[in-house]
Amino acid sequence: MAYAYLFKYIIIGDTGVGKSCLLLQFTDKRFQPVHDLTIGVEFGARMITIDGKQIKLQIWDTAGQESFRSITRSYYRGAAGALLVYDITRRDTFNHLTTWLEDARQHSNSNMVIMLIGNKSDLESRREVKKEEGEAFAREHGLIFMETSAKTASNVEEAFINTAKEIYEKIQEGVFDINNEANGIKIGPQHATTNSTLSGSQGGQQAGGGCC
Amino acid sequence: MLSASTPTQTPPSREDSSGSDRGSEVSVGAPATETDRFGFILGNGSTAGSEGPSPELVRQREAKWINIISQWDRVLLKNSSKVKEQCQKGIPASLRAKCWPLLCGATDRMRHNKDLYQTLDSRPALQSWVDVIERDLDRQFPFHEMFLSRDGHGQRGLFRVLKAFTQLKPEEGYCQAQGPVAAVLLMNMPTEQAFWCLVQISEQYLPGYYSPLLEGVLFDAAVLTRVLKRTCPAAHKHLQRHGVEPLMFATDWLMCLFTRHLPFNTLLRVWDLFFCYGVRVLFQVAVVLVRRALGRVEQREACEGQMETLERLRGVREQVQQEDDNFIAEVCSVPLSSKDLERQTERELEKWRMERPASTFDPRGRCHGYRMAWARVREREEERNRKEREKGNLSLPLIRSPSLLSLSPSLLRKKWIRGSRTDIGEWEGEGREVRKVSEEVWEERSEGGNLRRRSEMDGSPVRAPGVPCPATEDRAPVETREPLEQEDRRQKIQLTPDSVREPSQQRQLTSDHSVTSQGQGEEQGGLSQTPVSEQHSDSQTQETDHSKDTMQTQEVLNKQSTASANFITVHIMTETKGEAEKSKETETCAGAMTEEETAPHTDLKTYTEEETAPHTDLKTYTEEETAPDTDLKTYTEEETAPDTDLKTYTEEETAPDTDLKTYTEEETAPDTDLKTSTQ
Repeated sequence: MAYAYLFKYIIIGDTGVGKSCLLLQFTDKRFQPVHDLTIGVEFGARMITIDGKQIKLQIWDTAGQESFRSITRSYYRGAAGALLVYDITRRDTFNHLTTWLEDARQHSNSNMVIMLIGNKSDLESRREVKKEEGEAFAREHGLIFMETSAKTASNVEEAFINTAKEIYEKIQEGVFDINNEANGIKIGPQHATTNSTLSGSQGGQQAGGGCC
Repeated sequence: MLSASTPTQTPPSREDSSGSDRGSEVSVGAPATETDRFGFILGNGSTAGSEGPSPELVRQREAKWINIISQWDRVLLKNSSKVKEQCQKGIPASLRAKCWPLLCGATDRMRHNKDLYQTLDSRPALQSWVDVIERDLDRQFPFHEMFLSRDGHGQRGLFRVLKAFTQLKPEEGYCQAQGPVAAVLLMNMPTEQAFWCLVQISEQYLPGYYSPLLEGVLFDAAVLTRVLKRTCPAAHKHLQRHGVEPLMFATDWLMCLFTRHLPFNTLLRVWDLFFCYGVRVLFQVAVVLVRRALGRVEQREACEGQMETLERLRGVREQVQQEDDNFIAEVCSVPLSSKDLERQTERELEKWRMERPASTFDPRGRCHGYRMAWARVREREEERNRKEREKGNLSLPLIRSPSLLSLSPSLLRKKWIRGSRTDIGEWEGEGREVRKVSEEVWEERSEGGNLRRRSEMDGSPVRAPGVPCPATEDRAPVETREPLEQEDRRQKIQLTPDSVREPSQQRQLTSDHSVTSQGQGEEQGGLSQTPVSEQHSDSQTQETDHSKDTMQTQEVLNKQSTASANFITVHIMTETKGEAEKSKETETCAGAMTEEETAPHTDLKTYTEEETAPHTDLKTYTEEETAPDTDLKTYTEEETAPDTDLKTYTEEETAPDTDLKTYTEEETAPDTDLKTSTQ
């Protein structure tokens, strides 16, 4: 599918904060409470439109357990945006934000747009982290902030799209060097080519043993 | 303003991974609906399409496996290809509970740490680990009937196994990738066995995979790049061009042993191979998957960027249909011998150390399959025996008396079988166990650390550090001897077609008159061993074509000095050196095993009763139980005439996994062993 730009996102945050659910809600518009644990990295993609331009978001959903950070680090490379997610019902996931942020800053390019997300906003009764605390943290570290609920889909679209808008603005301002793919931005093909369809179209094919 | 994603844009791997995404309509926790033969709810990740082998074939294989299990040590001493063949053909579902633990050394570990699992299980664990594990429980195979409900035996079992692991290895704790591995184990065996299998996998087969730094995974991802470059250059080039690294697509292939990326029946077959050959199989499967995704030009052309390539690789399960046999054959045909793997490991390790001077990670000591696992088991046994003796239990009739040494092998064997019964009784006697239980925890805990340290420090056989055994001094020169000399010796030992191992030892021992009792044998044999062994090896100088291969293998093994590879060498060497004791132990053990293992059914039965095994196969098995039983009986009768059998041992001594030929072509000569022994 033709797109003007492709942005690479990475979703980070502690295990169990709802990273995969956010992604699924965004790409598939559904909530799946029961799903497989993310080991390593999973991928999602979706087209959005900003300013009349088709933008493809390529989203890398990472494993949250601390030990996986050594691996997650290799996924930061070339990300234009990051969603840093914590769970508003678990204080510890908020407390770990600083280390996540350090990691993100250290291993990505300096222009990467980071969106702080307090997820599970539907669970108001179990809230442990006030919205103001999230806002304060975001202000302090220069992040955009939002509270979302992957379950009710509240703010999920906005979170992804606002991040994209920010990136788009930076492109307009000339902050991002869009010719350097290491910045997580790729200029799309000017015309739609038949080849650019995704893997699904080759689905049922039986590969022969012969290769290479 | 927004355009919703097309179906093709949804992450394929998510849809595929046990189908977790497909079934939002399924109410989890509700009584199980229809499932496939593996217990996956139909329509939600059920993947078991193929029926599997015919019942007759299954029964045949069961009989073969029971035969193998019942004489495990002997099969390994004979070094026949039986086990590999059968692993390649697939272990019958009814016997995986028995075979997987046996292959990876978990059975032995469990036997020697009798109550350890129960002890750990009954104790509270670190709350932080408990919390993390609890949070993950419903995220492992959520559409398998065993793991549907929070209080179901699947999730509870998973919790117990993972929790116990954090207690056994507090320095490693719990890694999320262990969940799916433990879950598949639990689908196939009771919790205690699953626990020990997980321990063996985490510690022996894949060290560093689940430790806090995941060094094993980082390392193997780099090795995979090398392997792909050699086995699949075009696809490798494509990956390079688009900046796709193995860590991006193979992290959970490797860490979860493909649990979420293969149809379940194929997965079980892959695990059969994995327990047999170790990590090599993971690389081979990865190569096959990459090939299937990107092997053809048009496939590569269709993936014109990083994302497209990754999506294709993540969705590779669609490229693996219900074709176990083909898939397994393809996996086995990937040209990656253990030698190749060692070479790649060496090279990568050099690079690794340059890049990470602080890292102490060394994957060379890892266990490459059942043979090595067995060698380590033997080695542990030895250590244990030595410790026992040091404690002053010299009076234990560990081995047969020297007067037996002049008996014919067949007579001997009869005696072992009889004799070992008493040995076992005394060894695993209640009194001793009770004394040891509390210590075991400590011993086990320290073991992991020791293992790592040992493999780092010395390339020599892994022995218990700090055990001041009298034989250590004697053995030291053996271990440090020049590799060539070792090869020479080993070669000569192997290449004496007519001299059966045991008899040769006897000759040797009887000529060395100083060996009169076990204790003395150890001390004096040590002093006089060098001349004796030289004498011995000089008297046997026949060579066959095998020798070169063996030599090369040995050279590599020696150079790279994986701890246990060396152990095997030394072990075999020392056997011919007048160290009667060791070999005697082997034999005792072999006898003991036969005795002990002849009744595997009782175990299985208890399993079916206690654990409500999910697989119908098991049920069928129990019904059919009588058939394999008779088989066993015939076997034990046959056992009395093992002479011919023993001969095959020396002939078959070629180094095991070294070349691909052995790996793939072995198929042709199955059952010959069996036949010989029957005759």
